[in-house]
Amino acid sequence: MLKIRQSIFHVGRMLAHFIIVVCLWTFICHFSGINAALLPTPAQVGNALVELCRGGILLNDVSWSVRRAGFGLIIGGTTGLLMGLLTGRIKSLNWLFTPVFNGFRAMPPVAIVPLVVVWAGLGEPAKVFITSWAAFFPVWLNTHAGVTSVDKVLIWAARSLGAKGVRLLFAITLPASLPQILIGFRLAISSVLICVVVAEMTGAYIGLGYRLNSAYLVFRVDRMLACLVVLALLGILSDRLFVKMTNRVFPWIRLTHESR
Amino acid sequence: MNSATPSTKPPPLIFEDVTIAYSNDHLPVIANFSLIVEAGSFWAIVGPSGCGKSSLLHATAGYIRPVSGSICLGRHPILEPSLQVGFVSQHYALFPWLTLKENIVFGLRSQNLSEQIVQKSLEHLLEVIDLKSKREYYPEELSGGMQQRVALARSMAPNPPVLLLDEPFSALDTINRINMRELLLRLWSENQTTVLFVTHDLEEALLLADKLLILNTSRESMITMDIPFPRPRHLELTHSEAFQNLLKTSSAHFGAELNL
Repeated sequence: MLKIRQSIFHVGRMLAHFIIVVCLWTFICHFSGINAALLPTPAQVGNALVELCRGGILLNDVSWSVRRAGFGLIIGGTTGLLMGLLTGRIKSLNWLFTPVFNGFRAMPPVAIVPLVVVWAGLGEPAKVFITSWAAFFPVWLNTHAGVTSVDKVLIWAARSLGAKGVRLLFAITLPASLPQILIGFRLAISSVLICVVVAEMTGAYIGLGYRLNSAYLVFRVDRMLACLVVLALLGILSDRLFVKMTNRVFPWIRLTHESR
Repeated sequence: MNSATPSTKPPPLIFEDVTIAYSNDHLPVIANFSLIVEAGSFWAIVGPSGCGKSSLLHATAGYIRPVSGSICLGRHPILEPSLQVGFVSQHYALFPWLTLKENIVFGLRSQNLSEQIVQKSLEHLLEVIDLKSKREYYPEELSGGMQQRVALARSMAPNPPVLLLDEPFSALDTINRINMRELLLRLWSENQTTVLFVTHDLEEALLLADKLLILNTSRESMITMDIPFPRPRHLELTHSEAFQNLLKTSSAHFGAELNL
């Protein structure tokens, strides 16, 4: 009963936020004197959204962008996780790789987009490389930090109970670092979404970034805003889905959601 | 009797000229400490803060290495944590990603026992700690007293010849303390384990142990005393003249430092 009441409250609050934003937006459009071509009303953006949805254009764009982001998250996330475990556990690998990764990490991931396009062209491998790059660093850094900061009392307790080697790594170190690793993946999701849009804006024939850029080229601000709304929804949805999934798979972790 | 391993008289614990220091620049926390702890005996270790009680236990568990001297279980030197020496700390150190029953069987899984023996041992321990109905709970869903019961059961499950307890009841309320003392004595009498029990509470030490070791901050002096009261010991014993006399004698050795 309490859960149902909480859900109703949550949905009601989201609806209230939505209505407030739409009202404010409409108010500004009508009374600020800004040119309607520069700042379309929510209704106009809604129409542009419907227009994009017709014929499955938007759905196709979303599915391509999600696919590119997903591949990047899987490839970059898995590599980041493995490298984080290795650099966190093995001193020589830490000595060898950590300064290199820190150097690359200092560069904003979007900055490599032009270089990757020059080197690898406009094809799918280039976009997946960019999103993998974007996913790698937050996952690697958080895994490394998680592994190196596992409470020694837990390690001691496990060793006193006979755990060593691979069992110690997978039964203790990995789960003990999991909250931090999941933070890495959560950050990677937003980083990957940013990079997929930039990559698609730079050179693609389909995807939300491409749609946004083509709307810009013909000065369709309503379509640009429609794309941004979809991107925002995609970001919120993917984050919520991730939190819900991790809470279900790892019930002992209480990942507090930003809006809760 | 715990069914994990057959009961055999455990070997004595031998400290020979042990010096423990955390850095070469600092004074040792324990200096030239020698003691023979008979198999199956129950020792309480008391002393003011900073006298090296916890360090002595950590070295005995194999968590830290003495800078000189040796700690042996029978003929075998203790060089690293193992199933031979169980450890229970004030902070429980339960694995938060494992349920209560998974925590308890963690050590048993290291012994390559058959599933039947593991389950039998688990059922027995759940009954002893009176938490059968909460077997699927995660540690964070349990109270402090329950968590400490689980920690004790987990350490006792592999039937270690030596059990070290570092102020295990200091975070518990009075009722839980009394219950935990009874539980500890029950498990000790079932398993014939050698127990080293660190506490700040001299009365608790005299109620539980057969032998008392008083350490002090001068690092090179220690006092051992026999506690001659017959078992079972009840709380009423603390009002007896003999108990009060022993309490006075032992407290005189470090008096004000313990704020008695």
